[in-house]
Amino acid sequence: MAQSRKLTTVQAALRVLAYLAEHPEGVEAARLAAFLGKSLSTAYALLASLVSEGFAEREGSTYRLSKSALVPSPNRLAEPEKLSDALEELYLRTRERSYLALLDREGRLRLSTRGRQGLPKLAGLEDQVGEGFHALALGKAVLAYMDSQAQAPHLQNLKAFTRLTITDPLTLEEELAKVRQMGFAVEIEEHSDGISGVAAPIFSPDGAVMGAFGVVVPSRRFPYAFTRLVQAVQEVARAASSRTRAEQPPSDEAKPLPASAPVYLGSSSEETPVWAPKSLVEKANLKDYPAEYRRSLEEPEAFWGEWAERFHWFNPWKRVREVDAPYHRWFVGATTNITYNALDRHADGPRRNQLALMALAGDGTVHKLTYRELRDLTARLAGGLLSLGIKPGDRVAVYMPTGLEMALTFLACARIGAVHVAVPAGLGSQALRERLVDTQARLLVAADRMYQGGRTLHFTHVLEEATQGLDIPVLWFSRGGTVRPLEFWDLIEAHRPTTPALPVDSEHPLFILYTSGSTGKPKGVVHVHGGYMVGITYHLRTLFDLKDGEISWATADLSWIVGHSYGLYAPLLEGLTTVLRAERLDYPDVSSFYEMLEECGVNVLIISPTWLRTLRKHGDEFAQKARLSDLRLVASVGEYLAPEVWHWAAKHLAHVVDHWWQTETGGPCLSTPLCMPAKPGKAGFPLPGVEVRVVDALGRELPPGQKGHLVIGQPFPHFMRTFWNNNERYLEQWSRIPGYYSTGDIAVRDSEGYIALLGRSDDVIKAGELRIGTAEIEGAMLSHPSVAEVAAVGISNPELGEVIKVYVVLKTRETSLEVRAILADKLQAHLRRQLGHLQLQTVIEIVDQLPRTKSGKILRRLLKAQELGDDPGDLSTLEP
Amino acid sequence: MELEQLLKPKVSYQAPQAQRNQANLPDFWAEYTRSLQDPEAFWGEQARRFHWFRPFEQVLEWNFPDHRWFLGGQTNITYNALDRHAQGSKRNQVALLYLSEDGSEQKLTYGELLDRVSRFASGLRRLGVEKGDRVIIYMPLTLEGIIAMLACARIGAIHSVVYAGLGVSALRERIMDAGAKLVIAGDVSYRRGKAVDLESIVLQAIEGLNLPTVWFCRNKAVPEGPRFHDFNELLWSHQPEAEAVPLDSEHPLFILYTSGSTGKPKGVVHVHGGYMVGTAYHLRTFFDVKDTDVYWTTSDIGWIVGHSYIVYAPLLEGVTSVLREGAPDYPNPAALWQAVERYRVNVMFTAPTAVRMFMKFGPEWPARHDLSSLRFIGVAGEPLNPEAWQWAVEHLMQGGRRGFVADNWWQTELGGPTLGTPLTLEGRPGFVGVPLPGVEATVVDATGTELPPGTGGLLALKRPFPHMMRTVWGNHARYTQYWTEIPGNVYAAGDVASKTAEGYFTVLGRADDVLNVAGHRIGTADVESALVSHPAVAEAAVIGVPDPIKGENIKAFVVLRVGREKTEALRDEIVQHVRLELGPIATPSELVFLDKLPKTRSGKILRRLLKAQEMGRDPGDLSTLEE
Repeated sequence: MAQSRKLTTVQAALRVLAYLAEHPEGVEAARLAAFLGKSLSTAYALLASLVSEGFAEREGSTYRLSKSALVPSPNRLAEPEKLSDALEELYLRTRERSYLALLDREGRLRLSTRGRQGLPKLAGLEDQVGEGFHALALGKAVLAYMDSQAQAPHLQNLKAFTRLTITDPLTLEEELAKVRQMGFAVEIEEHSDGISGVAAPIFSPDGAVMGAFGVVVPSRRFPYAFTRLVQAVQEVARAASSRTRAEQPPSDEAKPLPASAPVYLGSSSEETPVWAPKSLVEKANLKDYPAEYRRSLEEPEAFWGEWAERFHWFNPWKRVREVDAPYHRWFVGATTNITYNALDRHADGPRRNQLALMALAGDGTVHKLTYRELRDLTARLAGGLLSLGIKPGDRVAVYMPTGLEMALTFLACARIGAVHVAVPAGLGSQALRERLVDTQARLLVAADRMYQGGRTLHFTHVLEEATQGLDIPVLWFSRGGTVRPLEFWDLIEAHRPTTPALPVDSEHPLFILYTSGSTGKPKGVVHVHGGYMVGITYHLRTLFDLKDGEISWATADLSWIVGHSYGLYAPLLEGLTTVLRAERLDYPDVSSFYEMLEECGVNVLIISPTWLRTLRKHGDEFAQKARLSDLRLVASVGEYLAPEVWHWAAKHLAHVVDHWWQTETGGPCLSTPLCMPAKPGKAGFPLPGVEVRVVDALGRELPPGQKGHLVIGQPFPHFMRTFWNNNERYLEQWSRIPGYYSTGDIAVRDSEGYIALLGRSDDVIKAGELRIGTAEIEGAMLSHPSVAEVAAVGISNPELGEVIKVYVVLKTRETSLEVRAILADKLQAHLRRQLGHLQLQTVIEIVDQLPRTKSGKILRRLLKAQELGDDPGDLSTLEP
Repeated sequence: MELEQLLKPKVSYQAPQAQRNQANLPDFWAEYTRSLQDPEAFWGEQARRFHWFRPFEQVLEWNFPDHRWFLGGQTNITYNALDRHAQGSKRNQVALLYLSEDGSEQKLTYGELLDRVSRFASGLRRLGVEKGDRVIIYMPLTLEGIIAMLACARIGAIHSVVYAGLGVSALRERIMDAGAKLVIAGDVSYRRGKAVDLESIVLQAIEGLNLPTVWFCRNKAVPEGPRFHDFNELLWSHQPEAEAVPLDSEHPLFILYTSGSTGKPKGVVHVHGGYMVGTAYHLRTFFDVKDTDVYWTTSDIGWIVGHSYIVYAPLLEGVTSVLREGAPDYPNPAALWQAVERYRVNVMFTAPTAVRMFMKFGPEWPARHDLSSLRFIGVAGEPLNPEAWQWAVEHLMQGGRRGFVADNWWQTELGGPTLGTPLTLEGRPGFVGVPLPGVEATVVDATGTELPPGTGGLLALKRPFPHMMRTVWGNHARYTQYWTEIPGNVYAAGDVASKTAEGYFTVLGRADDVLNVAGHRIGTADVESALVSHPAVAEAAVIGVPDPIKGENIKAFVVLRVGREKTEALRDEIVQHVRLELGPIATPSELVFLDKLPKTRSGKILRRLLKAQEMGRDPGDLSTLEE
């Protein structure tokens, strides 16, 4: 696949021409097809385009090289001694700093330049350039046409020259595809601050790229001079090449979203309730939901106290709860340790040799660990952390791909009372730094790379940028053979499995997990050992219905709350076997997902609607082929699950349990337990312990059918305790709507009590498992020098899920459409680099102005409504 | 003072009091008495711990010399070893833990093992393997080797594992004798960091037989052949659909060949029902294995110890069984102890030759590792000399403060431990122990007369037990011979033994011409015929010479054909020839050219004389010696 894509149409065309030149007697299409190893129709298409371009001639069924193609071009400048003339020509036509770059045998670019005093130069360049091609227009123009072997070294370890340099290989490859499509390369402050440029490739007679011509100008002048510069560079380069390039390959870029994406949120929910298969209902762990729910609210202390008895407490609690709204404490006075309950209890009991987890790393490594082994490794790493001076209460940041090492880090921190702070691997350096600073982390445990989708993502630069100037040691999980002073596995090897689980107060913080808010600064949600342990396991048993001896697989990244609660803690606490996998579910292809389910014998799958949509898109065939006799239940969480997808998954995978919750709530809040019929498209009922209402802005409960704010009335054991370093924000969340905790979601309840989620009420965009504030995106975008104003909105799309649309107003308004398109791509790459979320789907649109309220606030509501074709609602505040 | 006491050899060892208190079998003698007084009730009770598709009607039918157990019952050993656990709470418990020399590991849970075995069994069915068909397994010690065994048992086929180390003629002979329908073979085994070629041995052994062969290839591609299949392809292209077939409890489970003095190896036949009940019983009561133990038998699936105590008994009892491919002292002499520490092994079963090897390396190697999990080491295969016993107690069991070292004696024919020292009794160096429950053992002379304590004689068993062999494949007369060799309706073990007044036995060695090299039994006749098959060799005789590590070494005496020179080159060539024919373990470590061999007047070679000369002993009666 990857190989065939490499042979672009251009290369194919060049090969055809070479072949025709070798066969002056003439060639038939079939022979050519055989030579190319392509279909006959492809051969015909290539030949036809060569004939129409005048490169080839057709006579009956035979094709020959055109006689005129053999005649040297009159204004040919390709002789090396003439290239200097061409450089002069370029300078005279542009009157700007012009460059000629020629590839030498060692694959370096030899530079010659023409200009006058006062014209800016590319800084720090010698006359020979061996690396950093990715930051230069000249380099990219050459790189785009190199064969993959020559190209490869330039796509690795991409160095950042400025903050706009493309350092992600994926983005760079996209950029190179654009270069091939347009025929020229653009550089906007990617190599030197304040300097931008364009370049076009030159080709040798055999069709190979031999160098490039380019022009640089100060960035502020770039948009105005752009069209003129591109034209000049392309013309000179074309003239300098002995042969013009054949037809450009068709674009394989993703098509932009259709102008009017269908409205999705809250629409088309089917009303017919669906029962789970009888066998599931009969064997369900929770058989009478209404009674259980009633009891959980009427006698919360007895209810949660009883469940908590299932665990080991070093000291018993004095009271089950102490509520001083909005503050709440659970199992007051008790000491415990979540890892004692998750590991030691099983490792020293009948589950000693049972698998605790199966971890599949991105490089194909499979770790299967028994409870005894996981406990011992955790204890060894815990000893290692102690030796680094980590003390109870210290924060330890974790920047790793999902896998054994990350799980061990969480558990080892918890074992000694340290607080883990997971930062999703791939998140940008700025975001990471912000979290390191906010938590004053004492240690950063980080992987130097991760493998995903057949690629290697390097984190070294991100980590160096993020920790620069901060006094924080890094414990490295190095995977490429590099050995750093403080290595993860060496630390484990150096310690014996003797560090016990430290008894901590049940209210001792277990972890901080950041979630985005509309106000810009991400909030660090704090969860604690005692209540979190009790609450999440209750829902594992009663909602996800797991039985002893079963295997669960939460596909979410471990660094999300779903990964924390249901990829790691709850299944271990309950003595089950959990599956962790770092790789995308559809890599190398979607059948690998079904093979995983089958080979691991997964009983309960916890997955996101995004992935269910993707699986559905791949077709029924894979699902039908798979043998999923072990799979009993599919739990979907993260965003709205459309009825069509619900039905598809129920038919092809297993009964679906849609549920809703947040980082703040630690575990599920709304869902439909197995003993109740489900309404696809609606999350369902409040779960035991959770008191929710749909209210208006003043906190008045709304009748069924009316949209309102979803609020929570009472805290429960696994509800967050506060926001780290930002208790005001916690209080604010409890006071926005009087008497309640605002979830920030809009919901509607039907007459039977089923609740459907309709979307966010605040400025938070949910994309897959990720929640990101519009402010965070806008902030990242504004760091680009060309951007004046920006507004981001989340758009729901049935195929792609939530797509982030970013409206940008440029500093220079008078720009051609061409420049806008190029800038949009650059901005997209910049955004990706800043945020680092590779799974974010972003669309950039450059507009002349943004709608604003009279008070100057950007009206995102209007933008969103326009995008969805909705009624924008009350626009009275819109600035005319 | 203390040193003196330490240096003084101990006369007996006892398990720590706490361990004895927690023994699965606290009162050995009561159990033993009951097992002999009411064997049917005793074994019937044990059998009812397992799943029977149809319950048995009668525990024992003893029709001398044939014995049948659990008559009318239907079961399948793999149902009890796999399904029972995979459908219960042990589904995700590790069943098998495979280790390799390079430190890598592979685990299969009961759920996964059932899945793989069912898939492979479906694959075997597709290749035409049916109930009762024999399948030769020539595989390295791997998970795949065990999957192959269990898959056969699951569909009622009879597996016959040939130790992957035996040579071409040994393998071919077994294929022919068993009438195999299929061969499952590996391309290499890994030992001392090198790939040892198995493929060419198999290709030569099956040449011209047109046998379908399943190849488990780790080193190279599946060899070209019209009826060759790829192990993994066969496994993964089938759904886990093959159910455990309900089988008569007397349905043969496997044939395992053992060398005899008469030359032709004997195919010992064990059956589903009795073998299952008996081997599992001893795992619990003798090896004292608990539910959550990690259990490690350092043998190979090519031997009975591997069949019973790597594969079947640990799986039947739902514990975690460890297997390690390669040499126990590679990459370093602490390799085993490192694994004991890493995997917290609780019970080990090894051979005296291994203990002597560890002794040779010295106590510093085990001392480097935390062996605190290890509480029981069973030792069997040949007599455990007192020095080795003492060393093991001292350096592996913290001088006996942490656990127990238990000697035991049994044979391929007997399926499981027969004589041994239960952990509640005291261990006496030089004595293997007492007869275990169900076993009535005695020492007799050649006429079947019981001998008084302290007198050496022939070891005999007076009654069968469930896990004792049923027949010799294709040669029931040979089976009958075991029971008729000594008058008085007893089973002749073929070993020389004596016992004390308290009932402790000591086993002195083989009565017949079987060598014991590093725990492997090798017939002198096998080696001699291999020697003679070399064109330069006229006559040959082989004896065992005591070796401190391996137990015995093979010493060969060769008379060359007239006209052949006694050169070093020829000596090496002959040794290599035997190696190719029989494999490395049966290779003579010493080869002497003689002009003639001592023979009786009837023409039988007097090995006794050669051995006596070698050992500097009195050769005894030489009246029959040809002058």
